[in-house]
Amino acid sequence: MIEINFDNVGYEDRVRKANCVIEPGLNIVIGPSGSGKSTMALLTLGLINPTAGIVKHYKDNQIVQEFSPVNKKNNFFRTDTSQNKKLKKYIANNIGFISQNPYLLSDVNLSARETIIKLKQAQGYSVDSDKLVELADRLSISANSLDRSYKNLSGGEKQRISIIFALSQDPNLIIADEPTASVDPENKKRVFDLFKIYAEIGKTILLITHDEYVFNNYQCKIIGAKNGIIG
Amino acid sequence: MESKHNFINDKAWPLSKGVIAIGSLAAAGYMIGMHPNLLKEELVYQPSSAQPSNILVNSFKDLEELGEVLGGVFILKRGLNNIKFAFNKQEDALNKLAPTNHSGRVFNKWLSSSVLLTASSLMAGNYFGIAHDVSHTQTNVANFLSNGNGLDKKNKNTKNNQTFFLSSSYQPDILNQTSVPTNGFSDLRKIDQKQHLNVNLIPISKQWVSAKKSGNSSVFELLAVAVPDQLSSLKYNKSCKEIPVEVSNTLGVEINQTFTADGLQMKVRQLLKNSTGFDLQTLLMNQTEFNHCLNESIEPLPFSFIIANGEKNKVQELLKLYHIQYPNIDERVHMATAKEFLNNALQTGENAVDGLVLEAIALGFIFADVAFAYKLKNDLARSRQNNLFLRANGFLESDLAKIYNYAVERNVFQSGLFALPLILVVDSLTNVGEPGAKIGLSLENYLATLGLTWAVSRIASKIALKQENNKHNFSNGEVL
Repeated sequence: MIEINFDNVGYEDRVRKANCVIEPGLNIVIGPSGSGKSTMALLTLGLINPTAGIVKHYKDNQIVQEFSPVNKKNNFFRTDTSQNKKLKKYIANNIGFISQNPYLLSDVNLSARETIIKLKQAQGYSVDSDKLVELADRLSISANSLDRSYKNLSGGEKQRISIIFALSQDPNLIIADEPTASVDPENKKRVFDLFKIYAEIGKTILLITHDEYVFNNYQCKIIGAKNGIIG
Repeated sequence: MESKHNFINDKAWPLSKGVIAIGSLAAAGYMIGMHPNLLKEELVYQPSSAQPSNILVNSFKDLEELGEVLGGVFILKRGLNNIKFAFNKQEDALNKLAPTNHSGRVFNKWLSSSVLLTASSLMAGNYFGIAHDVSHTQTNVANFLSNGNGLDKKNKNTKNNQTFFLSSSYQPDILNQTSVPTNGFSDLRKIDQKQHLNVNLIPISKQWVSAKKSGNSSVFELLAVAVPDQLSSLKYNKSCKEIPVEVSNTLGVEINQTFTADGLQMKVRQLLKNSTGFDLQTLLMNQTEFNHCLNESIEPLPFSFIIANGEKNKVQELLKLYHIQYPNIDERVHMATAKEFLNNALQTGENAVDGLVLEAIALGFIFADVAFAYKLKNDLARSRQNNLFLRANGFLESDLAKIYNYAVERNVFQSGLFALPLILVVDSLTNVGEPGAKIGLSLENYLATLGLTWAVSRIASKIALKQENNKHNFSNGEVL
């Protein structure tokens, strides 16, 4: 069980102050564009370091990761330092990230199934093929689509493939930034139903969305965001 | 999320493009240079009949030229950009060199396409060109000489005379330059004259075949058909510096044009109309005079083989006497019948085509693989800057590099496998138009070529990708 604590967190002028706790279950961050929602996701992942305050990750009530202001600027991709390897291991074992731009790997001509498997292998992990098929089934991705070239899939299919990728390691924390942006209504419901299942078994879900459908239809904790104030 | 990447340290990118471009041109030049008469304007085909392979060859030649022009234009464009970059270190200029820049990507696609087009057309053009030329030349030459053409009239129609082919190899062929000892021809001729064996000897050199100006078959025709009964009484220059010749007007030479073959200066005195075969291209001197000029030439000539026309026992006697004079086993001269020569000539053509096809296919695939590796290199650079999804899911730089390394390996492997059906298809197509150029690739040759292609492609591709892996130091680059 993972919990995230935002304690007076700020990041430049994009997040002026974030004070909130992301608890196990479905957490939805709502707010207009430019209110700092996506920046909050990046801060959660440590992709950017806060310029004020601290972001703490608790696992079973123990601090397992924290991000605080540092002078050093980040690389876009982390290099192979021992600290980064530890962070990678933590993220890969515990976090699944889903973005509104599901850019897995379009340059390399692999099937969707191969893309997931090879990417995980490159990261040093294997994929349970039963798990992959189960997730695909839940998200209405056929075996045929799994074996089609990833780059030839539709936007909605790519989005769902990225969800399968993010969930394939059975993460404890799911961070989803507009995960249904290019998904049709029927499949959108499938995605949220899947999140609901994860929430019910104690996973922590941080969902950033404009979509009223989800907080009208699912039990969730709502976190508001406006003009960089989140909480 | 907007991301920027500082390409100040990215000098390797235009440099690497230059390397592959120069490498491609060098390889193309090597292939053309190695077979100087098979492509471009030097290639003169017998126009007697339209053949499928002629059309194919010409089409591929056009494609090749198009590819070269495209490649040249875009390499020039890149060169100009680089010069601009060198003299104007503004951010705009830097951005123009960045692989993520749109124009950079478009250029890269064009460059890759033109390299591929050049490589594939070279491959196909060379293949058809060589298959066509080798089989025709070998067959025509073998048939022509076997029929006794080029011999003195007094000998060639003698009832008991036969044509033999003499060389230090059991299998004489026109592609083997040093099959006859350097002084073999003159020594054999001296023995013949001294013993009155009445064997007519004509040396044939590979260099005559590959001499420039008139093309492969043409020069061979020109020199090999010095039919004495058609010789003019025109006097030749006694210093042998300018030998008058009559040439078919189909060969692309003009009156008074001079060209060199084996150190002998030839001058076109007359153009012959309506002549497409061997018989009408005339060297305006008789065999004795021509031999005199050969002996006067500055350097001894390496002959591929010697045609000997005479009674069989006289030719045997000639060789027996020659071997008394030259008893060493590596100086021995063997005789082959016309039929053996013809078979061997065809076999030589097959072998030549076989090897060159494999070489061309290997080069083509290496070009393609390396071009693809450069594409992946740019893709990797782009992913490193843009792929928030993978980054957020914990990927390190090294993890991302692994997947592109895998893509390179996979591409090299798949293209190698694709080479097999390609060889078979091209082989079949060629055999349709060139029954004489049956190839019959062996499994071990194919595997050797495949292994070589894989090895070279893999190394070259890895080097291409490694440039991206090595150079990426973001210490100067603020990203977020």
